[in-house]
Amino acid sequence: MLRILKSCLLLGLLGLFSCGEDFLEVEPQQSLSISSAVTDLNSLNASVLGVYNNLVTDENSYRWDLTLIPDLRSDNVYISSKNAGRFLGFDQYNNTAQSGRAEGQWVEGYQTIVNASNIINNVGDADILSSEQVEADNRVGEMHAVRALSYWNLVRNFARPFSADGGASPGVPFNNEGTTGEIITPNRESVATVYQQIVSDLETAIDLMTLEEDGRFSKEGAQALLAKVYLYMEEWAMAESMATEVINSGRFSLYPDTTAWLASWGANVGSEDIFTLINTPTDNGGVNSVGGIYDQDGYGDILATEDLFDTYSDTDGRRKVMIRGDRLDGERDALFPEGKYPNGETGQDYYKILRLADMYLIRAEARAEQGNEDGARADLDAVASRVDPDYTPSTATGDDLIDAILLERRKEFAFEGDRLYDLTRRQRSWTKYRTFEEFTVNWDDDQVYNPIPQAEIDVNPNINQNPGY
Amino acid sequence: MFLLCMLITAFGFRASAQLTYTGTVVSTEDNQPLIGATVLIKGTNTGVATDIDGTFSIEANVGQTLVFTYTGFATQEYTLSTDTNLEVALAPDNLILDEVVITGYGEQSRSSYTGAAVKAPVDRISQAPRSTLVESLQGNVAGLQVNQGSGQPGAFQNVQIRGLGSINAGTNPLYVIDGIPVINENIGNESTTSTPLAGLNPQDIADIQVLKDASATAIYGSRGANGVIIITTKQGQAGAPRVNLNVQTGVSDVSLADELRPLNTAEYLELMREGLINSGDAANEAEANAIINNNINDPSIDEDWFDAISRQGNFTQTNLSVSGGNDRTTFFASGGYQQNDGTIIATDFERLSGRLNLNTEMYDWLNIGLNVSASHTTQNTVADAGAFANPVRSIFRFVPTQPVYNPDGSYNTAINSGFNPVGEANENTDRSEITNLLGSINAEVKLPLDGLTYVPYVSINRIVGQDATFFIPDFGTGASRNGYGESDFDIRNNWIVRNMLKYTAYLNDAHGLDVTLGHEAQKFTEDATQTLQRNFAFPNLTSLDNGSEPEFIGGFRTENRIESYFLNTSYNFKSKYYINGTIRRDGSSRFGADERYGIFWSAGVGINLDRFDFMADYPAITNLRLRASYGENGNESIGNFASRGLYETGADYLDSPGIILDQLENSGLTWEVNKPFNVGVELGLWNRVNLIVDVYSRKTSSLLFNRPVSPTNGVTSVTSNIGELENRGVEFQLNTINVQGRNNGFEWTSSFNISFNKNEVLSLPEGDFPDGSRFRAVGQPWNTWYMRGYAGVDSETGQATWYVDETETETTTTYAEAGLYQQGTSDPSFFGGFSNTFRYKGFSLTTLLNVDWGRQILHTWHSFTHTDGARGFSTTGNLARSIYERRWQQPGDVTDTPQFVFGNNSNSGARSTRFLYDGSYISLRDVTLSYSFPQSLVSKARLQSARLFVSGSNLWIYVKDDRLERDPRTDADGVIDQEIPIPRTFTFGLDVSF
Repeated sequence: MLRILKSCLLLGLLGLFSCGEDFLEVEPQQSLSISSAVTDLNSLNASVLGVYNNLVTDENSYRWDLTLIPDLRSDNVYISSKNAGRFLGFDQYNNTAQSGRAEGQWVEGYQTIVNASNIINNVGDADILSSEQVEADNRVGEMHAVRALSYWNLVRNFARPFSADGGASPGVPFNNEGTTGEIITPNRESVATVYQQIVSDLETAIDLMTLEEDGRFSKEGAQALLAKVYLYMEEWAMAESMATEVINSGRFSLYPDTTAWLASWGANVGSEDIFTLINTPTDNGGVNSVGGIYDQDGYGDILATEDLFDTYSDTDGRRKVMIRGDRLDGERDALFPEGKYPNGETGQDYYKILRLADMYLIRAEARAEQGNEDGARADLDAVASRVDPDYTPSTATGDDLIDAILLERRKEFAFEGDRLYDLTRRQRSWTKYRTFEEFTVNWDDDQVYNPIPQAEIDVNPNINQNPGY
Repeated sequence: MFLLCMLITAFGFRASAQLTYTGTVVSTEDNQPLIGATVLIKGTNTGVATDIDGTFSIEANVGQTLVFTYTGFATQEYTLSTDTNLEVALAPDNLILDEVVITGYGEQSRSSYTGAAVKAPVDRISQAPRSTLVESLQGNVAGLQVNQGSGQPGAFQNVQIRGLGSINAGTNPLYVIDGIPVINENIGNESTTSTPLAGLNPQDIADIQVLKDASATAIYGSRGANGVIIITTKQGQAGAPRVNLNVQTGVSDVSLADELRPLNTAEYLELMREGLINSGDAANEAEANAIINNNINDPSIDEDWFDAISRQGNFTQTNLSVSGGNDRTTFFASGGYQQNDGTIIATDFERLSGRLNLNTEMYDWLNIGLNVSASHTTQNTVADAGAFANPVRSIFRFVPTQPVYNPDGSYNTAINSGFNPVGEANENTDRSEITNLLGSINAEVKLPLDGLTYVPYVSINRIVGQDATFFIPDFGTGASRNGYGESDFDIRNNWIVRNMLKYTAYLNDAHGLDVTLGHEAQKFTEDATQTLQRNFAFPNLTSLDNGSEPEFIGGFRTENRIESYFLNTSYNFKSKYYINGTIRRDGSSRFGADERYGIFWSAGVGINLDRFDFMADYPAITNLRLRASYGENGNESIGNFASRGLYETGADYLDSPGIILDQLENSGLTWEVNKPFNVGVELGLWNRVNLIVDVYSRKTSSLLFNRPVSPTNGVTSVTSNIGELENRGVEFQLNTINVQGRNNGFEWTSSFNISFNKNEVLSLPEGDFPDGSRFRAVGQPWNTWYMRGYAGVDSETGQATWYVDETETETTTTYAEAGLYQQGTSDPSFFGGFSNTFRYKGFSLTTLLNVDWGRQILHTWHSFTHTDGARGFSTTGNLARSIYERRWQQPGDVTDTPQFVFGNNSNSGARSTRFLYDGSYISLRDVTLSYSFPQSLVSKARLQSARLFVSGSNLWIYVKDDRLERDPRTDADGVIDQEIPIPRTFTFGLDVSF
């Protein structure tokens, strides 16, 4: 008995003294290798959705920063004296190079660009069946359009406007190669070069896309973005022609009246919406969103200016997106800019990136600049009259007409993250309103533009900081 | 003559009258009998040993002296009177003479050990009123630092041994409990403070050894690169079953409470009025008051948020253990309960623990040991750091004009974006539970060859972490989702199979040889699920079924494996010279296929000079020993798949699955190598003084680091091997018996340790680089701060000024014009502890002072509380007390705090050395006063022993920097992050055996 026990122990000893060959081979369960990210239509689709996800769920992207800050830096909104401390640097004009939000926008912008570039560059090696080619081409087109959008957002926020000097000033770096295995430290391309890249991406996108799907870029979406980009480049004829293509595509129609206009906000894709970012309940928007900070049940920290309110006539239906009330323990008789984000603190509103009204107003401005003032006024009236039964058609000419179009843009796109860029590309100055003070800002004030994040400066010897930081 | 004869006879008889003295010898620590203690009549060879109950009987004369000795305890002498009933209590001598050193796979005597190992004074610390034993190691072990970030009861504790030896690969030591390397990390998804180590009952612990150098850590290979803490639990002792009952209860409060108090309403409004006038918003006090009345709902409210959020804590524990057995089988069984309510509302910790240790000698050639333990801990905690719901944040941030409750008794939610921290803490649930099952079985089989044994070992550790959170729909966190609940499970499995062949021989009465050959395989798996549901109708029905809308469901699984072969050889010549060598080959699934295996080794030598003949000339030197060790071992504590280029799932859009680039590949990623070198000397004098000095260098090469890269790469960092760093230092440990006890009289012993460690980056092949608030540069400590230098306040204008550059010659009032430069380090210059024990009769008083000196610590949140007016009337805009007391008010004021200006736009609150503080402190960490009842009384009560004690922790602290308005104790990174303050605790207790 003892002998058997001893033998068993010895056998066990010999048997246990080694593991199998593959004992140390363990594969991750929640990730895949970079090389398997785009191998077929299925993985291509997942990679593309990941890029859209970046645009919608990150708070430094459209969920919060990209939508909110252009209104905050301009004359549309301000931070209540009773606030939780968020976004103050953009309200007080005292950001530093350590600004976490500037860094976040930079990081998210490039993450979107690199992921889009990876798809664009690797799709050639993927196994795509001929029956899948149309869809695959469309996906690649979408990525070109998203990349263009991201470069455009970066160059608008981190560089001087194209129109100031024809794009001569420093823009932002490129990463069109995607993940290559090399760590890059790129220099800043000129604003003009960045705009060339954006135009080229959008032209490619327009050629590749044929599908029409909510929540994604389509051919018309890319055209609409290109129209706006040309507007910023002051390529008036091109802007007009692109806007006309979208208007004439027949896919979209202006809202017939104020009721339809007001009903279009929220978790909804309306008849004017050319490109909309969609939030589903599982995207977990929550209070950290533009709706959450405008909503008095959420943070409610950001209020609309009286100056904005006064631009609307009494009969202008768009004024209803602002609600008057007392902020608890804060400003009396304040303006809550809640109406475009009716889901408020749940963060479940859609983000409308490009709308048909924009195309009309782009064309109006382009036409006015080219001397077609009748055409310009017609486009302006088309937008303004649909939300104001008492609207009297415009008779403005010359600079007044341009001012009227810009004013209409302010009224139409308030709280959509558009205002600041109209002021900067037009090289205007404006009044920054705050609770206890107001001051004048000129388009070329350093604080109008983000600092290049210190995190980038620290690791990239080829990059230069913006003036004033 | 007869009378004379009679007298002489009587005298003679008297002088030589032999009496029978009987009594017991017990330990002063636990009143346990000391079995086999030597009782010797001084100056004779006559002596006896105590029996299994610690009792003895010896015949001696009145006037003679009995000497009581027991290994590891201070010798005591007793002058005999006619009282023949003796009760002798021996105190542990803390002298570290020839105690047993428990190493990885066995144990050996200290005199044969070539490494640097320290035994922690378990007896002194097991009764400290804390939830985890790790906390109590602070100040007690040279070279070991516990960085207590949070005062949350039962919180995870960061421990560093001999400085920061690794950046990314983890800095915590390996914990080994009864031979099992256990998981010591945060468990669960929600809580950041729960650890399975908190499940270990300190009173079950018999011994803690800290292994610090190569000889020590080579045994554990890659897992031991940061040092090893070896915990051995109590084993049974043969004899009649002995039951021990220990109860302890007490209270706690926030230490440094006065310094933490925020401004009251009068002080706050005074600042506001002054600020409004300074900013020009008001011309005079009346106008300022008008603005205040227009913006603050009710300026007459004076809420004390500190009182609302802090409370008196409670500490209660009960432990019951039974030990016993016969000469073949022994057992130790215990059960314990602890309840520790924290000093911040809604924070507490509860532990239920049980243990059974069995050892049986089945046959002469087969010994089997079984250790099983189970524990269940429940920790209730609150949101931390910058979270709205963090109550600690609210203490400093909330204005006193905002009440906790509305007049109708409901929570005031018009503050802090609807987050009322008192309501959040009281009404919501944030609970994390850990069930920890740890079992091992081991055997020792004597093989037919003399000296050869086979030692198999199997263990399994299963940890179930369970987080439950619920946020009521009424306000704050739960409001935007109409209430939400979360239920998370985090299940870990850790199994080990180890087989060893050991050979021991002693040849020709001169050559000692010990050889261990082994193989070990270890596998860790983690399975976790996370489920969130929202839309709850009833605040009291919190399980997920009561919510109507699923919000998120997620889960993941990951694992890693280690396989090792090792050979450990020790040789000694006549117990004078020792040589030790270890070599092992470790494989880890965490590394790329090319770098999966690493070969590591260590070597040590030791000389016991006190065993040489010439030392007989120096009788004062009772122990003298020199030793040195060197080794190279790897550190594999990195992410399970850190070397790979990966896309991660979960980036969904339109409710369809999406993926996104997560990390870049680094296939050349390899083991970080730790190269510790240690030289030590151990000196004992007169059996009363013991000094250990260790000088070491600890180089780490192929340093693993998430090196920041340009975000244009689509990621912000890449795990890389970036360079080399070194920790150099010297440690002193001095134990003395200052007054030796006689006749159970006065005795005084001391234990002092101090450690100096210098951290230095030796190389960075890709160059120095700034890294957020740090600057990583060759020649500097890794933890070198990097930020703008605050130059104080212009005494004419009251404006904040900063230095333009590191020359600190020119200042500017524009923050952006100030340059960033290096600003000292968050590492201490030195740290240590000084413990004293005084005993008299049954009384014992033990104190521990703990010092940590020379750290620079950053308070990140002072940018919100030291804004000099920038935050306006914000309800979270209360100011720190120092703003009120130190602010500049008129030209000529010399201060470091700028003028208070409402709506201040000067960036004076932006990060700079203004918020970098000297973290030096001295604290009275532990005090225990106890009284053991005399044996005569105890016996009458049919008890074996009885002891009463009072014990306090953190009773006093000296903080060097008078600008720092809180406890400087914080995490190793030196960043203060609105954590729960460390409590001051006072308890009393009773310990009886029967």
